[in-house]
Amino acid sequence: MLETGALSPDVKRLFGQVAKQSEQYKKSFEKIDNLIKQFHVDREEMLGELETTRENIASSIKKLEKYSMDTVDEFKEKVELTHRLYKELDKIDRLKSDLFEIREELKAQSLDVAKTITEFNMKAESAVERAIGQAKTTFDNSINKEMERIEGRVSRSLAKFDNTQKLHERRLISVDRGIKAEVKKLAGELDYVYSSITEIKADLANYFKSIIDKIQYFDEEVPRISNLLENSIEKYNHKIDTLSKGGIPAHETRQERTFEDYDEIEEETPMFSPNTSVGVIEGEMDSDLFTFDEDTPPSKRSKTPAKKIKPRTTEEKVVDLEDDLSELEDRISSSSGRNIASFIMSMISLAGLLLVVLSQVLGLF
Amino acid sequence: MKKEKLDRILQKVGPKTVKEDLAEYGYLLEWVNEFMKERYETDKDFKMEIYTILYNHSKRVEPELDIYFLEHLSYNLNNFLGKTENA
Repeated sequence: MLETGALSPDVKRLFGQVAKQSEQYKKSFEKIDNLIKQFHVDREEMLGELETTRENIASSIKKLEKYSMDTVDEFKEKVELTHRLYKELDKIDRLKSDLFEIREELKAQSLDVAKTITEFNMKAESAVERAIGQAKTTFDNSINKEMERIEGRVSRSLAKFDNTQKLHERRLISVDRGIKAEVKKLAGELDYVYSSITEIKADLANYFKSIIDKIQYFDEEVPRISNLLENSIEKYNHKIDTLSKGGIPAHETRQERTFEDYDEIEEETPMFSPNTSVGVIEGEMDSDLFTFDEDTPPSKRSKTPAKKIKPRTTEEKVVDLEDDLSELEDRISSSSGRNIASFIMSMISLAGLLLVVLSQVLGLF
Repeated sequence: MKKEKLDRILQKVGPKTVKEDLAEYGYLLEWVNEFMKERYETDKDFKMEIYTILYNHSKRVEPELDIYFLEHLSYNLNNFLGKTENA
């Protein structure tokens, strides 16, 4: 109620009623608003559902149409198939009836064929037996002919083979003989080479031995010769002294003689001959000094008569020895080279012979 | 601050005015008709101020105020009915 005194109580009651009614109106309006909102929401939902149902219906209608079309097509196909099947069935019925007829005909024909087959078999057996007999005879004849021909060929080839084998054996024997002869020759050559080498070795040993003996002899003789020379020089000096004291005889003076006269005298009477005026000692000295006969002792050598050959000096003899040695070496080298060359040539010829034999043996097989 | 709120605060806190005293004793309308009749008839705000003072402070029934409220009520009810009918 209003707390003012300015308004009449009727008006206040009226306003109170109006306020109550307004409250009721407010509540009812709120309800209505809520209902309207709910209605709007429901309406939106319904519209959405309606749209979806419309779409669903449209799609289902389309599907249904398609399905119906498919089923109709399938049905048409099946109808055609059944029609075809019925036609085929009619054909089968016709064929069945034909088959029965053919079967009957075949029965009759089979009986005829059996009869003809038995007859044919009889005839064929007799014909085949005859043909087999003829073929057997012809085959036997041809086989015999072929066998004879092959045997002849085989015997001919065997004979040829024997001939060739004998020929090759003969060749092998000859080659073997040749090889043996070559080997023997080679063995002889080798023996000759070995013997020549041993001889050369023995010669060399003798040479060296003789050289050593000579050197030893020189070692022994050189002091003796020097003593003799000293004695002879003293004698000459003594003679010169006596001559200078007593005067030189006219036939002994050499001052008047020319240089050529000295040479003639020397030729006639060599300086180192045993019959010089120097005497026995000089002759002994010369013969001992310049005679080098092998295997003769010095005592014997002194007794041998002196030859009228110009004696060689020691240097000349050493030169001669060196020449002999070099000659011997040349001979050894040439003989060994010749032997080696002959040995190589014989080995090459042997290898060639072996190759020829191998090629012939391989040609055989 | 709004004027209406300020007026309400002043009514509670401030001292009583001459108009409020006259309204309490039942002479405000006579005083206004006597001294401020023209303004009361022309100035709506002033008229509303006088009505507010009467409503809050008068202790006897004022038929003019009843009529004003009833008119206002009927006007509002008509509006309401018109709106509800249209809706």
